[in-house]
Amino acid sequence: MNPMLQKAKDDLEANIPDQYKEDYLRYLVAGLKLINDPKSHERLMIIKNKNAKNRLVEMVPKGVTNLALVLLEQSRKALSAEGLIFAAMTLTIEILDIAEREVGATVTKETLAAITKKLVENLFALLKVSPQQLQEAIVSGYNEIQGATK
Amino acid sequence: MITKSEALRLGMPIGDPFGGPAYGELNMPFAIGPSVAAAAASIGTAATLGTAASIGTAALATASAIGTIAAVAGTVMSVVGLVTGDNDLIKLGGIIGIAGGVTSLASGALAGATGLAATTAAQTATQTAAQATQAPAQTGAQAMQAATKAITPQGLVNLPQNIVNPPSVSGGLLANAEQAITPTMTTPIAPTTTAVNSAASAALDNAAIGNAAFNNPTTLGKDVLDTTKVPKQTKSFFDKMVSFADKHPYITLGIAQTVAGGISGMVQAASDQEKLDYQRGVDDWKYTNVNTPGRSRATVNVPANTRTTPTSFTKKGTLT
Repeated sequence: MNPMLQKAKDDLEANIPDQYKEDYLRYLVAGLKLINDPKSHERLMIIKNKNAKNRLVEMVPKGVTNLALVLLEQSRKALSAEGLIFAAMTLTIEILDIAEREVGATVTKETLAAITKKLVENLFALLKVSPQQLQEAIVSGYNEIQGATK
Repeated sequence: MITKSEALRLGMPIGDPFGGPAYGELNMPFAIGPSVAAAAASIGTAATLGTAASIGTAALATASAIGTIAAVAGTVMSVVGLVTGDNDLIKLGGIIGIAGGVTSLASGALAGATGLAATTAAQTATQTAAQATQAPAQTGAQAMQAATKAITPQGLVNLPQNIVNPPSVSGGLLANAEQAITPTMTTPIAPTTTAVNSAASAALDNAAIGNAAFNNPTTLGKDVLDTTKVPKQTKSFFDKMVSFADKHPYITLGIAQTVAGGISGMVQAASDQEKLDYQRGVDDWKYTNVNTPGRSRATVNVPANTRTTPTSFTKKGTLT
């Protein structure tokens, strides 16, 4: 794996809070199953599309969001959405690794940053977190932190 | 009984070319049947996002959960931002991470650090931001650099003492935040966080976030709340947030750099043990799930008509 991707994966996993680790693992294992299963692997957009290596920022977040949707529904809401977000990022890294190894794509820092940004946007939409709700949560959290540090 | 090494091998995607398909059924946390496989086949192939009709049932959305979700997303963005060196991503992660409040700072974004260290870091970052507020000439870059240094373990050790007993050095009060917060500082720390608090409150109160964080709340919100599809997010979902962070660094830098410093500094110090514990957890989880009761060889080898008899065996499958 690309050292940058490996570091991102390692750092990400090192920062998963304990309460989400089990859910994260469950999502991750199921997601890897789908990614690596021969039947579904062949139908990955980055595998099917000959021009995929030039369109990673467009394709990968969309594909991972679809995958996250499948995982979320299959979990029957028994698993946390927080674990899903961590797993979605790790699965993104795994798919980018596949893109490098099998498609010949080059994943740069800029590519990874843009994909991450787009992925989080998509996940917020998937989880129905609106900008207004996010704004309220930020203000609320800020007030809480402000109160704690006074 | 499957040995532990066999169990671990089953969980690895690559490594044993003769070990059968990776992530076999024994390791699956929940069944992935044909229908799910069919759904999975659409991964990356659909022209639009997801099976739109079912997204409504996938929605989560309790108000209390949004804060933690946003904090997790902020952590993800911060981590990737640090790896890629993307300042926008770090800023966004910091802003979104605020949504989790104090709890997320202690348990999520600053995983691995102790609560005391996290609290101290937050206070330090806030104080650094206060200095930035009182020193208008200071650039955002200097404040960020100062905040980063403030959160290093060495800085944390020395800072409290320096706050209590500030060295009496004349002149240059708060003129240079970087100098003020280094362990060998020669300038007193800002006495209170009042300045930054008031400045931050004013910035929040004037609806700067509301107006600037999102390009067009009305239009974007309509799309997001549309239950018939996952909206095609505009590029501006986060763009204005970055703009807001640039305009008000003293608000966001404290949190952003608490996250950043926590990951790159304090957490780094404890990461070895963290990773070790985590890996052990992964191993135990795999081991436990592979050796489920219904699949153990001891059970399989017992004749069907004796399975319910509580007894012991002298030889495999032979009753005593």
